[in-house]
Amino acid sequence: MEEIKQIKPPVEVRCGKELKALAACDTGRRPENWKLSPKAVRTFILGSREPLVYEGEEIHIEKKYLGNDALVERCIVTLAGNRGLMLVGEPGTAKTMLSELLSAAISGTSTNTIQGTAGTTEDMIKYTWNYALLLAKGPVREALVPSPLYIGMDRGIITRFEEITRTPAEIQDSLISVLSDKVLNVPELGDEGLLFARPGFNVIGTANTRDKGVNEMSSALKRRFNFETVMPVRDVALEKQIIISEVSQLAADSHIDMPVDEDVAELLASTYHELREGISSYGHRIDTPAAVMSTAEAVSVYYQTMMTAYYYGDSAMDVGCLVQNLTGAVRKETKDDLEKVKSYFNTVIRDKGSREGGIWKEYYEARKYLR
Amino acid sequence: MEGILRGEEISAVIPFDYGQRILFFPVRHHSPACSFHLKKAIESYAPQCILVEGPENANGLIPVFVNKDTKAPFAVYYSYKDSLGLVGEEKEEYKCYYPFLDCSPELVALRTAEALKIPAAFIDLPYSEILIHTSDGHGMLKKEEKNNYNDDYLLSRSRYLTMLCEKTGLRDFDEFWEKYFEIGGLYKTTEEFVRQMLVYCCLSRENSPKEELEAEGCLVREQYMSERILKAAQKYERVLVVTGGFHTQGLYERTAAAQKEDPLPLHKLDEKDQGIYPMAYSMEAADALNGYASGMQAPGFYHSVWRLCTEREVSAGSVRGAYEEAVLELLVATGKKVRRKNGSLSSYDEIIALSMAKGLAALRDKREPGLYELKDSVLSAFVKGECNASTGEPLAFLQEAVTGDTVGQLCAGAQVPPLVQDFERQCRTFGLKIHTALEQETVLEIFASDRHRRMSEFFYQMQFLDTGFAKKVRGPDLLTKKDRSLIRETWKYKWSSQVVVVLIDRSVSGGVLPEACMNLLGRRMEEAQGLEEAAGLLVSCFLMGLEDRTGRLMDKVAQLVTQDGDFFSLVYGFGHLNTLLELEDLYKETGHLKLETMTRDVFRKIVQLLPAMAAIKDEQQTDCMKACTALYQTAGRKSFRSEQGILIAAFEQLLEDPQIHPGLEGTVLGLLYGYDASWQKQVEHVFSGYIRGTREKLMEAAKFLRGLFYTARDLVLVGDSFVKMTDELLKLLDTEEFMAMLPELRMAFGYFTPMETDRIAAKAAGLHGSTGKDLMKGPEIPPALYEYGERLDRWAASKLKEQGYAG
Repeated sequence: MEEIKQIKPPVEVRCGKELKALAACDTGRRPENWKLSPKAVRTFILGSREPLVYEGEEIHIEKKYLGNDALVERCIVTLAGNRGLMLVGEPGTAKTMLSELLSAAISGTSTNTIQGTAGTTEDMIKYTWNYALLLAKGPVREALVPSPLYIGMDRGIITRFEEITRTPAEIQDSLISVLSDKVLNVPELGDEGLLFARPGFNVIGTANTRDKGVNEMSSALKRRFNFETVMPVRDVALEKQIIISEVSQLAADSHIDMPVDEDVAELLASTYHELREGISSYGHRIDTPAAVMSTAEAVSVYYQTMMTAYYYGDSAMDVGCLVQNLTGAVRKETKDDLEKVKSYFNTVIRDKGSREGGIWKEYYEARKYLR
Repeated sequence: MEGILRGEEISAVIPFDYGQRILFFPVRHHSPACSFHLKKAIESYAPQCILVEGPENANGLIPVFVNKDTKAPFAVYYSYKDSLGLVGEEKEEYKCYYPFLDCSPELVALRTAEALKIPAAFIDLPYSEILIHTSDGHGMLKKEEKNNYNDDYLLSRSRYLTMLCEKTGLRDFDEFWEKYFEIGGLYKTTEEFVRQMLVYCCLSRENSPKEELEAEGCLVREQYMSERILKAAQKYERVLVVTGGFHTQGLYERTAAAQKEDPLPLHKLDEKDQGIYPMAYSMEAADALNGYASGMQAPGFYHSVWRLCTEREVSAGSVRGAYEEAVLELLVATGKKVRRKNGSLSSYDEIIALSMAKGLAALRDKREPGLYELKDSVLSAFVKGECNASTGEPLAFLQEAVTGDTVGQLCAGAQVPPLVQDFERQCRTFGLKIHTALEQETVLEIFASDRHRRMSEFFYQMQFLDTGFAKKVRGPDLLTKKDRSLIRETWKYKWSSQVVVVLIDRSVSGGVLPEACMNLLGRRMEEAQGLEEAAGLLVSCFLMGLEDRTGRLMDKVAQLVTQDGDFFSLVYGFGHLNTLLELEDLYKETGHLKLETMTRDVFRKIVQLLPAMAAIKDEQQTDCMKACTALYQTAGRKSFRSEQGILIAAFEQLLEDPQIHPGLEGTVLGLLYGYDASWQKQVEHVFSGYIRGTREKLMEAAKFLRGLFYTARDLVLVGDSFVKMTDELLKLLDTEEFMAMLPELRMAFGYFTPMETDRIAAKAAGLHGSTGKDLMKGPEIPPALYEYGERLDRWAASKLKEQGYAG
């Protein structure tokens, strides 16, 4: 098997076998240009108990999105319909991952993406020109540099628009006609300048409620999307499971041969959960930090600690190092956040340490690194 | 799942065969699919008698339920007073409801029996016996939920179910039920449907421990029901038994074995302890979301499904498509409401929502979209932006729509307790809307319109009986003496099944509202501990328009006047009596209460106790000040003038006590000055005593001023002497002492009007060689100081928030 050399290969590469197996075994009706039927897309994202047999091999379809199954189903149905899909929610709630999974399963590619920033212009959304060719040959199709949106329409695949609300509202609005009429006009090409979207084309937007929110999005554009709010994980056990599976994946990709310590994952899951929800499992009321306390952040704190242990330590998770990384993760917005985490350690973790001992006690003793 | 539920072998366990003498039909309460197949089964089986699970002593109510003028939802209300302590040592009162909707299979069974002119009967133990056979904390003796007779929870709690939901990828029991039984059930033949029900119910039962069934009284109930079934089977050739699916196996096994058991003996209970009444009910109350752990959710939605099933069956001969149509109906209804509220939803949104619901149904392998797809489609297509409290309105509207707002109605001649009838009669008389579950508001001109005054009395009566029917949102409050100058009362009222329940409970107190209120008043009056409470009840009596019936009550009040030795209870009671005395004319209710003599007695008693009240505590100062003023005002009334002498004597005696509280001293001196201006000298003398006294006394001067200004603030305005003395007092204080005294001083000067404060300030300024206007000019305050102040404010607010004093 060819070794994957990318830091983070796209979903369709990572899960290529699963997609192939699903396509081969898929007997459901497919919307035009979809690589899989809606049911198979659901199975790809939410997993299946029974393995599929593909080319004599048993392929297990893992559950890739842990959370709200009904939300995934609504997303799939939306994408098969006439409206775009807008995923909104707190940072780190796996919106991007979900949109990648959906695109890979539906269109076979998750890389047809516009990254929204404050500097995104209409050209980047629609099309631009290869000026050398434009000067040489005039406005011909060959000289046109298509954007991901153009490609999506042309090929009948999903276009992902990341962080759409970071883009100025008037630029966002250039999507309106594309989404309602499914046509893009390139006036420079004259009579041949109309690009009609092929079936299978749709847009998945993601928007972060922390950054700018969707309030500034025009209602005309809002009307062209179905919105799905992705909530943070509410269940500590599930959050722990996500940390373990994500970290295992990251470690495997980076060839770090070190098992995931479940106790540490639980420690982190519980810390992030309690700081986010403002209440501990013992009922303490806690001040919630302004910093993003997402599961993705918890994964990153774990992974950082793991790498330190693997390359500079004895391949065992060090709770002190974990607390240092936690400090780095929460000290992003204001200094007050650190104080809140300190008081969390001095109340909740102190009590857990004295009641449950073990790693919790160690965790409490590592509070000296919170500075 | 289909494999598990195919039920090929269940027929060997419990046969479903129209040739049987006894045919068991398992149901779930409020289930349209069960009702639909039950009707089919009745057509095919043509029973001679239908037996329904339900307490047997409600059999007398069946004619009411099947009367064409009775409209669902309605309920049977059972109550039991455990006078003999058979349920528990606490001898508590118990109550429960047995709601019926149009789609309830039990009601369908009763109505069909009526249409076929065959007998129908309930066969379960009476409610009281069920309670007696239930262990504490189990079944109907569970404390945490509203008690409901129906026991569908038995079907939704087994380990088997948890595994089924997990395996089928469904969220919970309700979604599981809807997919396989409600929607799927409409695509099955009756035989297939019943077999599937039986498999599910038998597996649920197998996974419920026997001890639990015993503790919940299930087994005793099944024994009793079997007795009834066997008895009917001796008389009729085809007996249809409609019970909760969970019991079917138990009943079948008992009747098939026809084992000779001794009949279950029933306890001899007093009829008075057991109540059974039919009552109108609402969809809102029947919704599982409103506290019934075992009910079905969204009765409004399933009612629509049932209605459409019935219509389609007649028009097209098939019920298929009823769910999709119900989803469409509710999507349109919700869309309409959203549009009316903020106008930003188009028909296209509704189209998208319907296609979402259908798409989800296909993805989830459901034959048609159901409640879950309806909710998902509204969330996806109607909610614009992040779903939160401000954007989630469509979901709230949908919730209202799926719950439904229908209120039932009982036919004329139903055994409704007379008290409920009286309530309904009054509502009709006053034109109050009680056939809706929505809250209504009405404004009453109580002094201008006799009819409005009567309505107000009716509302007060309902309030006094704790029915939760009406609440006053604005208007004069005679009990707390707030807003007494208002001339209108604004009331909000809302019918709910709870109102009827309370009225049924109160029925033992009387057949009409005034009688029930009077009896309750009488009981409360008997229990009253002091004059305050008793006189408060008199005020309530007055507000309810019952003052002409107070004979017995007044005896008790008179008795309390003699017995009550608590100064403050007497004072508050006196306040209430005074209020009544003052307001009799205004409310056009003169002379019924014969209050004057009694008020005079209380007045004298308080005056008698007054000299002993000199050394009150600081926290009693306000009450004492009010009491003294009330006495002074009463003695000023024409009919009380003769009492002035004893009041003045009591005041003077009070002042002789060296331990007198400075606030009280100020109050009393002020009042005496009100009688005779020559007291001014004495007032000044006492005040200067405080100023020149020890440091401790000096610090109490502000309390004295507070009492004095409360009753005689004109003293400060008539001459200069008081201002001068106050000035002298302030000069004697260092900053710390001044700060300590400041709160009391603020309260003391708070009795003056702004104009009076200006005049005093001008006088004080004059003493220091400046004018009042000079006081208005101050040195410029640097912005930094303001900023500091703001910071301080924020800090204080955050500290207060930390301590839990937010807001």
